[in-house]
Amino acid sequence: MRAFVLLLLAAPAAAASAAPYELSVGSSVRGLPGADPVTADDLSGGGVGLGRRLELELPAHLELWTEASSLWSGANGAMFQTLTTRVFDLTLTAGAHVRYHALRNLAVSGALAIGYQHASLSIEDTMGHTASDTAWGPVARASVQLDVLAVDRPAFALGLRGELGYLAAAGIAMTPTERRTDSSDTLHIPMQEASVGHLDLGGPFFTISVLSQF
Amino acid sequence: MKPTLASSVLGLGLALGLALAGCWDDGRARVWDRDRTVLGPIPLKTQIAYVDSALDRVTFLDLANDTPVISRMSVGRNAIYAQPSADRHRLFVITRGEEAVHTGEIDQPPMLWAIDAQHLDTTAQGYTIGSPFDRIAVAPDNSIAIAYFSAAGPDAAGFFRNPNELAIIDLTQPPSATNPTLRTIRSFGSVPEGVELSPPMTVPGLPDARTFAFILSDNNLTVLDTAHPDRDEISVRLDLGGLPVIPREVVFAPNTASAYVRSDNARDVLQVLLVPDTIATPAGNDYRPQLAELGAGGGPTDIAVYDDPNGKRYLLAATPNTGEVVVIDADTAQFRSIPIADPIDRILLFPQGGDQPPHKALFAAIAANQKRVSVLDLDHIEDPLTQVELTTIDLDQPVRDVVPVPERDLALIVHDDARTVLGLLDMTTESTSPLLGVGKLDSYDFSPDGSHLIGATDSVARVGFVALDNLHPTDFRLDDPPVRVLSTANSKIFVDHGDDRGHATIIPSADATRDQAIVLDGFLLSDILDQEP
Repeated sequence: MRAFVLLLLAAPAAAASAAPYELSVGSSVRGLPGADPVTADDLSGGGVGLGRRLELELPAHLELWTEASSLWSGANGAMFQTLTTRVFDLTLTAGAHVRYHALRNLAVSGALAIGYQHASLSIEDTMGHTASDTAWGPVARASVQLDVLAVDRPAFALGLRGELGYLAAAGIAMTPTERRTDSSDTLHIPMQEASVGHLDLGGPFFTISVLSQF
Repeated sequence: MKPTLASSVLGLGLALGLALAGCWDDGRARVWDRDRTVLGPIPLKTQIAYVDSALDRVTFLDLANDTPVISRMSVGRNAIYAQPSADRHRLFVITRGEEAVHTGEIDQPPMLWAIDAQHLDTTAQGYTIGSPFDRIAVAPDNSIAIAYFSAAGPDAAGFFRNPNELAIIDLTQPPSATNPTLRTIRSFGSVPEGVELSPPMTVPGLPDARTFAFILSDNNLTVLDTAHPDRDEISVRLDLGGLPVIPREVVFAPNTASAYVRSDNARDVLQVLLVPDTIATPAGNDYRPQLAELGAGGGPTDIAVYDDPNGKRYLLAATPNTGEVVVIDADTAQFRSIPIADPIDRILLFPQGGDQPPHKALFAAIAANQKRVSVLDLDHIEDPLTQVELTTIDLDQPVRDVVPVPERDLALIVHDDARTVLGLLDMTTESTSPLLGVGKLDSYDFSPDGSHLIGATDSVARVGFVALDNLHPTDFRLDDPPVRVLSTANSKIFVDHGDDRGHATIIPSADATRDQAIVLDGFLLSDILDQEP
């Protein structure tokens, strides 16, 4: 902490222009107001983001970045105290953010992105029968980002990024199916599975990540 | 050390993030954490029903067509009991209701829900029954239902419970201030053990046919006119000061407005004949029971009622104390005794049901574990000049249960508690054929036309069939072990696998192949994510 503060104190007062690339690695947590039936918990996990600054003529201190990110997160839960549930989500998005970098060591951004998520749901009963399903669905993300940079130089920056936003997700139709454990060539009776409905993994999220621009 | 702007913002951001993460408790609806009991499978005509006490809904699987159709119907909170009507066209569900203590809970009283399974596009009719009754008696014509408490009661909730309270529901009328009618029947210290509702009976001299409730309790029989539930009930003391007399069985003779009651520790069969009476008080009745003891004379252990080809009603009673079975003319109480050595406690008549009068009676001594059954020819048995034709059939094993095969002159004889050794008795030839199972017969049913016996054991992933024409056994390999096997009215075989999500195999007929069958999976949780809590 002391080294971090010294670095901040040593930094010049004016903002430097940013390096053209950025990489962020961090963890995130997302509320699940639309997935109450399967879990009371939030989705938690990690993520990686890549960014590229576009060389455009913009007003002073403004930068336009394109970005691509991958988030993976999971949650456990229970229904009716007897059915154990597991939710896993991989979200891939691409978008852009406008970054306002007026002060050295600080920047704020507004971001929009769209993409797809790969959602998995498994339900296990007390007898050990597990049914699961996975499917893709579209998502859209809007967020604000706050960058606090310990190192903020034209060629290199290093700091933390906090991101607060909302991930809107289309409900993904889920039809959990029990996985057969017998040999793969066993002939089974044709099965008709009932859908449990649409799993909505959208919700407010917060991400904290280590950010590097280079 | 003085904090800088950057470190302050960083700290604030971290604190905000952690706080937000902790605050995303979006208040999960309590419905998803409720205790869950699934009542069922409940066989209806061409449907199978499951009642879910946590989701407050009934799931129907309609097997009328090749592809099963899943449908749902909402009922009240916390279902505790469900019962189909005798004709399997309707389903009745009692819900305990809920007291709103936590957010998301609602105040809802106990209710009886009547569901017309033939018209699932309608909603369930809910009747507020006031108390959390846990038993239902339904009239054979589905016109009247009575909700009452079992001896144990539904649960420990509540402050007071009145075990003699009844809710009388007119199912032909919508709910109103007078429907249901709540009544507390007169008690002499006992509580109802059961309620039997008569088919519509016309009391001679009274204009309309009515359904009468016969409420059975130790030492007492209570008769209630459900067409006038506000009128006084009529209590009949059964005991004579000796051993408690416990009414066990009521059979009705609607054409003569009478009922026959068999009781443990009773000397005779009690005939309750309903006759017209003058209304003496505003709450008085326009009928009264006329009692007669039909001369069984030895403490009947089982009774059966039948009409001969001339429409004359007879009562068969087994009286082990006197070593007899007695054929009683229900109109004149004249009787004929037939000596039989075994302590008979099960009487079955053949053929069963339909319009044909029975020609034979099967007697078994189940409690005594006797290794034989007896068959009595009923034709002209009432004529004292007719020779009694009582045939004894010796078996290799003791008889533990006897079950009639629907629509057939056959009886399934169970020889052991584990139901691994069975026999099939042909009432026409009076011969028996043994059937050996590979395991305990945990669940069995007959096809509706009596062509097949269908059985399953929970340790073997197979359903067994016995063609009752030639006793040819076959079996059907399942993908999962069965828990219960049922046959629907359209001869489809439904195998429940006991999964909390709903897992069942539907076999279209006894001779179907595996590729003609279908497994239904997850139907108890269907569309659960799209359901509003």
